[in-house]
Amino acid sequence: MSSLSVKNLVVSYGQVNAVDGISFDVPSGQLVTLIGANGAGKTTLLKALMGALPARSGTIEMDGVSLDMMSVEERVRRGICLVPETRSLFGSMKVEDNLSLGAYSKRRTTHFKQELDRIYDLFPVLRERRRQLAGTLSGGEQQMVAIGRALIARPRILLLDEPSIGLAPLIVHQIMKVIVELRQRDGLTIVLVEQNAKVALRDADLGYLIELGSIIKSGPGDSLARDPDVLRSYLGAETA
Amino acid sequence: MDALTSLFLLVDGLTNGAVYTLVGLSLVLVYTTTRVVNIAQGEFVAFGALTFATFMEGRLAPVIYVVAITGAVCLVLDVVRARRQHHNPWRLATIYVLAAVVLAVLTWLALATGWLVLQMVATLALVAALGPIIYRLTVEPKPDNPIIVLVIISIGVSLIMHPLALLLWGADPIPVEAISDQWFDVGGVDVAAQSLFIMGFSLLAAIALFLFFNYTLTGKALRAASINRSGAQYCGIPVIMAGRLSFFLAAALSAASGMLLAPLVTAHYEMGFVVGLKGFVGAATGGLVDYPLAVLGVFLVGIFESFASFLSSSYRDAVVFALVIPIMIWRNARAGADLDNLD
Amino acid sequence: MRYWTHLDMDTHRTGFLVTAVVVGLLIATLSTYHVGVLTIAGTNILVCIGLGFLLAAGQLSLGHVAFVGLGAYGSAILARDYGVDPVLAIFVTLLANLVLAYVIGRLTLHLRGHYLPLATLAWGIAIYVCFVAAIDVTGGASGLSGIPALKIFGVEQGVRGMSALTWLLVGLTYLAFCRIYQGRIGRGARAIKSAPMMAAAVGVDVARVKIRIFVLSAGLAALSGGLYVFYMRFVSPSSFGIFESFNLLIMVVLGGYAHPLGAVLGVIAFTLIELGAQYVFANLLGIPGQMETILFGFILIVALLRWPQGLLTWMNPRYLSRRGKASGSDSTAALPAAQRAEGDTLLATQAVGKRFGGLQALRDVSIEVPAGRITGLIGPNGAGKSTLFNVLTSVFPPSDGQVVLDGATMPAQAHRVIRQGVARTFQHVQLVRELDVLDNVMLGGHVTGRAGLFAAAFGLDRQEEARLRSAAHAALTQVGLDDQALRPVGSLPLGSQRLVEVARALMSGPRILLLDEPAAGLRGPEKETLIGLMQRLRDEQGMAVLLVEHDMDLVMRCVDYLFVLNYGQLLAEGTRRDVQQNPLVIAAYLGE
Repeated sequence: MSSLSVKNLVVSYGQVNAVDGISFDVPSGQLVTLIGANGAGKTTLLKALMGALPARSGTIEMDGVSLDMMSVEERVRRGICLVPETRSLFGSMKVEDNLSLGAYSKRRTTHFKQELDRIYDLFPVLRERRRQLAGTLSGGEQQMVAIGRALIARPRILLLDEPSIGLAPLIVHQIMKVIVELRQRDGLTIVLVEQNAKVALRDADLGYLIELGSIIKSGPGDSLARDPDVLRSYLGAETA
Repeated sequence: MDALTSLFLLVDGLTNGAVYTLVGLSLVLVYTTTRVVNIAQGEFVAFGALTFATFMEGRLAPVIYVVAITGAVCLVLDVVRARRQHHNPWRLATIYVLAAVVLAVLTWLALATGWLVLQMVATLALVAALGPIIYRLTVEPKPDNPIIVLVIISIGVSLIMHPLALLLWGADPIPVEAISDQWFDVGGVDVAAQSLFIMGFSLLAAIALFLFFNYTLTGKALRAASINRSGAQYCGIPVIMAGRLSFFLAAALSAASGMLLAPLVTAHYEMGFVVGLKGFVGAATGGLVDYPLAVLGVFLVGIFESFASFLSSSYRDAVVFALVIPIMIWRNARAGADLDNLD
Repeated sequence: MRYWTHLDMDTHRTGFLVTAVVVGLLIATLSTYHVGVLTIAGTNILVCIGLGFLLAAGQLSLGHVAFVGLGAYGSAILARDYGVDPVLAIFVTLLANLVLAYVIGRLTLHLRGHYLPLATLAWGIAIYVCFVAAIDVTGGASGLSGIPALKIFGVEQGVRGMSALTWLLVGLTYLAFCRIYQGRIGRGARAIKSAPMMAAAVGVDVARVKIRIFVLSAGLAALSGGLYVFYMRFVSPSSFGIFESFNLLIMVVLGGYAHPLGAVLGVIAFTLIELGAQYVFANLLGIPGQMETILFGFILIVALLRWPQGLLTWMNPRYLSRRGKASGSDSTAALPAAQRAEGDTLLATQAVGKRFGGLQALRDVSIEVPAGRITGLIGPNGAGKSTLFNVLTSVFPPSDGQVVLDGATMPAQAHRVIRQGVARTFQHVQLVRELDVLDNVMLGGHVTGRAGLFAAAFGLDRQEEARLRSAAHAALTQVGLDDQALRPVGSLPLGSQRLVEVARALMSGPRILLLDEPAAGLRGPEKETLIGLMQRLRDEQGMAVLLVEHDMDLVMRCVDYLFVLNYGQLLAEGTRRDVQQNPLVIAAYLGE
């Protein structure tokens, strides 16, 4: 699969730097988790990786090739896909259609029936609901559609923005299982952004703690999960 | 009113309805793919009719100069934008040049051979080319403008196209020969073959559009681009091209409508406006989002118009347009859950 | 942004007087033809002022010229065929128009999105067709002539007289609207356009205000029609077709609708361009008529894409809106004191649930917000906190359970909530960008005032406005932003904008304050201000505060009691120690 390299990325909203000089590497086939409290800059970072937000400075490289001047569509064609925090589904269209559109960039070479089956194998409940309008699905099911839509084009790098938002633990568990399986089985490179630290760090090869747009701590997934700094960052300083 | 009169009015109404169908379909197409309520859609009907009429007279349609000039402007704008974003402008430029060549060749062939089919194709190509150009110049600069602003912008386009038609073709109507001079007898009522052509073509177009947008991936992609722009981008759908393609298709449909109508009402620079408005009433029945309902709507408008005309000809249009209000109220009430604003 | 002129109060006043004198001179000295042009311009300004205000409230009317036509035909027919005195005829027609506009407004103004413009287009055309069709009454397409002259004190008014009368009315209307724009309804109208949810939250009865503005604009249009017809002494339907409606739209968009001055500028610019273009096209280039329409089409599109504020872009109309003193007035003016009933539960939810389609956003949530306490509502992203807030403030109703205030059910209409003493801020800041900070805060006091359109127009709201302004300065002082009072609200950093929202919420003297993530984007000192403010409100005024926040440092420092939400259900509640040490809460935030 592919590797991702971010160097000194700065993304600003007006005068504020939402991402303030972040650098990290995601080696091919690894799962990297970015955790941090709300407003830390995680979503902004992912959007900048996709090209949906312009970077003020810094570079993003995929397999050594700079993505900086490419549009969102070009990056998708190169094989980097985002599951956005807000899911951005097409609510008035069927689940099947939402999934199929995910393969738009590869439509000429995709065997749709095959790929759809592959997604339904990953998320069996979607097979039952494939003709339902996406907007009528539950939160967990919508998240599965969003992930399925990103996976159907067989991306080389998958970016996930807080996939566990508003989801019951059981569903989060299911989804994480699928994600980890994709890494093991297909060697998919994954960047996972989460608020739910324990879940996100447990299977990560590398974890980064982000606060106010900068990386303040990094390390292997499980050691970061037990780090007191992480606790403090989430629950406030007065924790015993 | 006896049975024969009713039948006559019914047939007359259906014929009227068929005329408005293509415009109504174009309106739905444009709205569902770009959120633009295109008040200028009727002008493409006039342009289509007049360009076709000019070709049939063996003259070069002046619209080609408009396309050439505005197309060049778009090319310059696109190249400038590409350079600013450090993209390669040559691919773009090649597409423009190719399009120009195709248009030029089609026009030349249409004039040189005088074949009806070529003339139709050339007309369609030329007028449809105006679609993406207008999209590039008026919508693309800020595609997420609120709907009210998009409406006013389309009014601006209408204000330009209407007198432009007058300028290019003059005020005199240009007669156009029908494809066939046949008349049929339907239950005692005379129907022109041209009318049947229109009806048939409109129904085919309605079915084709319905199938395209609901059953093909490209059609779904076009819809998706306006439902959730960023979501569509993340799927790799080229959202800008989507808008341009939509306008192209809509313009082509309306131009076709104009070509088919011309023999019935003669090509005239004013013809588009009223057709456009009536098409609106019909499309409004489907809330501007539903093809089958839009088709039903325009036929109802046609029939209603026909009967209203018989009963009180001078108030006919007033009644037809006043109908819009209850239709809008009904659609507004029905537009329940907003499934697309989930974010 | 470089302005050609900073229109402060003095420049404005001088400009007004100079214009009045110039117009007077022109009416007296120009040829009848030119005076006629001036008169038509005047009638257009009258309509455009009303239409501009309608647009400022976010309503697009594509058929407005129909009201002008109704005013014209109504007055003409009454005067010509029924011998009614022209002035009286105008009045009667005006009243009839107001009634008609009310009916049409009730039917159509609630329509969303693209439905409203289409409906207005439809009735505009329908009425036009009626003008042509009702030959017996209106003379049909050939029009109506032989219309008597208007008489003032028995003196017949010719071209110059009508012109003077028209411009006198223009002047009065202009002054009235300057005041309306600055006043309570003017602020409310702008809120309706940019932040309708917030408008309801501060107590603006959106439907009612929209209809009033619509009726007012229709009245102005009818008046304009009446004046027009007694100047022309002739009327025909061609003046009231759909393209004339489009022309009015062009004038409004060209001039700008952030202030009535835009209507004046727009009409003048339009008239000049039209005359100039006609001269150039017809005389110099020999092109047939209608070509200047193309020019206007271009202008319309370019204006909307590049300069959406129209000609007002270069005039910084914000300066026009300051009546009275420019800097903080009596900051010791106390905010209305809330009731002191510490510990009593004021606001509560009882087993509230909320479903959106297949999504269960809230399930069986029961919380209490007592007086004199700061209550925190925390939980991971997507836990349902904002949904709960929206249910608490009747933005939408609960699917199950109920919201109770002082033992009674919370009113179901959003704009009544604030009258119960419940004020809120928003997770995504809802401020009106066209207004400055002070005006935005004054919006919060909407329910404490009563001045409507007429009170504002006649300047009867001076005292109330002064009181609101003082209170707004006081509220801004409480959040530490009084020195920013006159800056455009969009120029403030996000953190300060949140504090402006808090100041706005204080304006209504609420007993209960609901703050939705007020600290997001705030810097250190601003957070201190916020904490201090909340504590002061709790201690000095016994206010009940419900705080949704992600900033745990801030939350733990000031809350008395916490509710923790997770997956739409109540996970835990208690004091901060209880919650911080609760293993369920730790698991919810950090995962299992």
